[in-house]
Amino acid sequence: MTALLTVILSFIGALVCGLMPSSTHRRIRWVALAVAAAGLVVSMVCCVNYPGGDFADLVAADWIPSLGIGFATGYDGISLPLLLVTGLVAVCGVLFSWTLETRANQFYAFYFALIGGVYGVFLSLDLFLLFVFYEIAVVPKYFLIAIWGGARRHFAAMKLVLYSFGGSALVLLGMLAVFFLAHDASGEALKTFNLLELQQGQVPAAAQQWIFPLIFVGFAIMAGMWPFHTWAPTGHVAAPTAASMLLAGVVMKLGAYGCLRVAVGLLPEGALAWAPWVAVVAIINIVYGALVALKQDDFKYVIGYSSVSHMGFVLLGIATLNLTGMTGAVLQMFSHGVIGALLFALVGTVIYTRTKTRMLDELHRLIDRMPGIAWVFVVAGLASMGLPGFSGFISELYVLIGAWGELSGWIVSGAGAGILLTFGYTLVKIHEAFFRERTHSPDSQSETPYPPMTLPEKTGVAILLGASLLIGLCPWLLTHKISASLELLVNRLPN
Amino acid sequence: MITALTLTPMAAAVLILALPERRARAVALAGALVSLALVLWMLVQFDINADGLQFSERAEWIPALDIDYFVGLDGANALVLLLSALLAPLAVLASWQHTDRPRTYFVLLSLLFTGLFGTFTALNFFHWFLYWELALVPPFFLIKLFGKGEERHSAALNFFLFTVLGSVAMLLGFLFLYRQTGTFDFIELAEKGVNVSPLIFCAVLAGLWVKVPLAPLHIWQAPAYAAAPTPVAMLLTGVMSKMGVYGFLRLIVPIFPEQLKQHAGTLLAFALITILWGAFLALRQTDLKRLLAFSSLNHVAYCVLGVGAIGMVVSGDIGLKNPHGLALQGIILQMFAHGLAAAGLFYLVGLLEERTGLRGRNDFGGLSAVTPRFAAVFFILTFCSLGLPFMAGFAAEFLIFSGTFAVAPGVTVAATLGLLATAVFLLTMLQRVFTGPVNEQYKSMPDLTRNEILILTPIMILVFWAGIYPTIWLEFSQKLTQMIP
Repeated sequence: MTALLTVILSFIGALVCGLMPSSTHRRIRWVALAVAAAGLVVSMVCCVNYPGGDFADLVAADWIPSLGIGFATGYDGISLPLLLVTGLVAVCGVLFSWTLETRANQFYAFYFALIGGVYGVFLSLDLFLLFVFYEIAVVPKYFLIAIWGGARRHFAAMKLVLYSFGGSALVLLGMLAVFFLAHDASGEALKTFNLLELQQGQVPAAAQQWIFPLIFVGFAIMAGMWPFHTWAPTGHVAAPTAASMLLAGVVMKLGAYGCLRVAVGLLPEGALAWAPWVAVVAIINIVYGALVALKQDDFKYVIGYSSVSHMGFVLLGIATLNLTGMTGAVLQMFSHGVIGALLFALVGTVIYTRTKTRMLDELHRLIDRMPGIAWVFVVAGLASMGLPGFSGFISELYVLIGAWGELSGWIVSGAGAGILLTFGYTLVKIHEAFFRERTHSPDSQSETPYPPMTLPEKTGVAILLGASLLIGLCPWLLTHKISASLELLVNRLPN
Repeated sequence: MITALTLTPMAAAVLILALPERRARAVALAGALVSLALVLWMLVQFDINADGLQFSERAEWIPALDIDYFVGLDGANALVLLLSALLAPLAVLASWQHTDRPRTYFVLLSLLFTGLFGTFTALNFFHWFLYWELALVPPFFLIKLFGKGEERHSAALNFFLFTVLGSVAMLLGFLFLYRQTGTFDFIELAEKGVNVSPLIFCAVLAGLWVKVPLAPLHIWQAPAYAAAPTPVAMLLTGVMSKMGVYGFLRLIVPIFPEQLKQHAGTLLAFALITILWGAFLALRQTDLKRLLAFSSLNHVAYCVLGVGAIGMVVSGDIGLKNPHGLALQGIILQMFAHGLAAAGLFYLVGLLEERTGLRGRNDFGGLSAVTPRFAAVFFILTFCSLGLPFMAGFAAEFLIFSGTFAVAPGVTVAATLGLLATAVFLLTMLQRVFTGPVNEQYKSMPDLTRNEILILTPIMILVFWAGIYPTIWLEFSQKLTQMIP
């Protein structure tokens, strides 16, 4: 029941914030911070209490018994890092929206509805319930972007929603197929949505061949899989900072989590057949995302495409279908959640509120004018590159080790090229943003320093960067738990 | 002990961030001096008759991947560690007058020290790579932020990208080894022996190739050395190029003995090309910093020549008991000698530039009359570089050449052409800068100050000590030579 508190608290938080008058935005932000922090604390308690291996903290209640639908929740080592990252990003999202005034009550109502949905997906042990939470998370995204977003917000919000629903439709089809086709060892139809029971049973191998792509692609759209990734950059860019932190940090992980838990977890034969294709697409994600990031002039688009590139490593890790690679995939979800959120916070709030522009060719020698912020961004950029010592390195290392065992050398070389490109575009963009002098523009001579970071900003940066560094240096804090649970999943794969 | 050594500069960096900006240099110096003291203490305690590692520390790090934190000291890294610990405080002293954003500058410098000490002591690929990359980031920013001229941006970027390209190749290579053997531990890898395709060997080699550097991957070097602030250039040439050579000794020789044997000829050929090409480029160069960069390219390649010799199979009686051991000791001493001399020379050229704003070979003239002490030190370090007897460079190159000659006489003879060319360009440099009619413009150039003499003194002492009585320095690697067949 402990874990379920995250969902309950978030929805209560949404309600409370929504009911407060908007003029009290100073009080609302403290309430929001308290709610987000409570969610984080609960996730941490879960993490500490988790015994390891199979699902823990099970809650089961009947819901629609005639259709085999129940209210079943619980968590294991795969969902734990994602609960943690959701908690971390939720807290920091509030910190980086500290100065928000316009309709703060509604903002946080949508914010926590989204977070509640996300927690719900990570905790669901019933496919139907998971789907419900997955849909709950879509609606607040639309409003967060359409109301508080930047330029082209209506277009971006609509695009995001259409992609989400498109993916959901595919997932729904696949889920129904699983529901009707799954049978237990004796061949008797299961007719259930319960994940645990479905894991015990099986879907006929021939059917898995076509159900797997449905469910996998459906979820992977949210994970930013090429060629369905285009919602991600436009959505990330148009969204207000807290929302783009959630989108990059958590929502993309919803998709990847679905791919791992549902598609691979329930359809092992299908996964085995399709894994090489997933790997190819993952490499395209990594390389293509990096190349496009290199060409962007808008700082937020750079981060948006870098998210697409980094999610490629998650997909690649899943495609390995072995313990090491998939551990890497889950760790990369955590790692990119933290770092991606940090980068969006820095670009969207910390830098933008000071410079009033995100266009790289309008920024002028920020390293001298905002040295503290510039150095924080440089460190965050290094973390994003996957420099040893940060979580990104460990997760990519796991993925590469896993991939090398399972997939062809070409795939690994492609990933290697992707890493190099990541180094390249990160450095180039850091140079353009912080070191370059703007020669022909009205204020090219301007040397005015910008104000330093505020306390909420500093706290947020410290939390996210600290988390990445902690896992980078002590990865076993998470990998033990992830691997123990993944082992159960890997054991179900046929070979 | 070693962990303390590695973390001291890092602690200094944190302290610099916390303290007021004017204290930055003092804290950085204190951190570097503590590190030096720790290294000296370890070397005094070092037992030259003991087999294997000393002062080793081991702790579990990532049990799931079987990765340990594992550091230790042996003959291969003792001297190069001393070199980096010695140049660290000297580099801080050389930047004593640095006024541009001192906090940033000294934090980066201290982090670089941690990276260097860590690289030279780590014995597990995992954290060795962490330090290897850590040693890459600060110089990038030091060149980019504090370097000279507009080329500094492209120089820094080229330096970074070339090195990262090599690093990623090396990372992939070690992942392959890990897949085969299940370990990242250098010692364990050497014991188990690996059987890999040439491609993997090349991948590991690539990382070292860029760092040394060897032709044709050297093109990042001269622009980076020329653009870097003087103290950073001292470290780049003095210590960072040794990271590559040390990698050859720690990784290639023990872990890939078979592959080294197969490809020793190729390695010798590339070392020879680098030696000759470096000398040729230096002959044509008139910018003193670039000239020294090419001279450095040429001198470090002698080390790789020695590595190639270690890989050559000895056939028949050649009258030398252990040519491989000779080459090995020569490499280790050459790292030490070249590190000292090259860092000293870069410092001197930096002083020249600071005083006159110029660093062209033909911009000066007759300086020995104006600044006799400056000229004396410059002559001595240049002669050490030349390999004049009684100086460190001679002892080292003599050992390398005698080891190499025994197994590959043809290549050695060709490499002596490089020595000749070195003599030509270094002597031309001395002649143009220090002799001839006094350039009126620089008649009042000040001589070395007391602070500057303080920096140069330890370098001078060691240059002579290692040249006249190299025994004590060679003893560290004595035991190591017995490991090589």
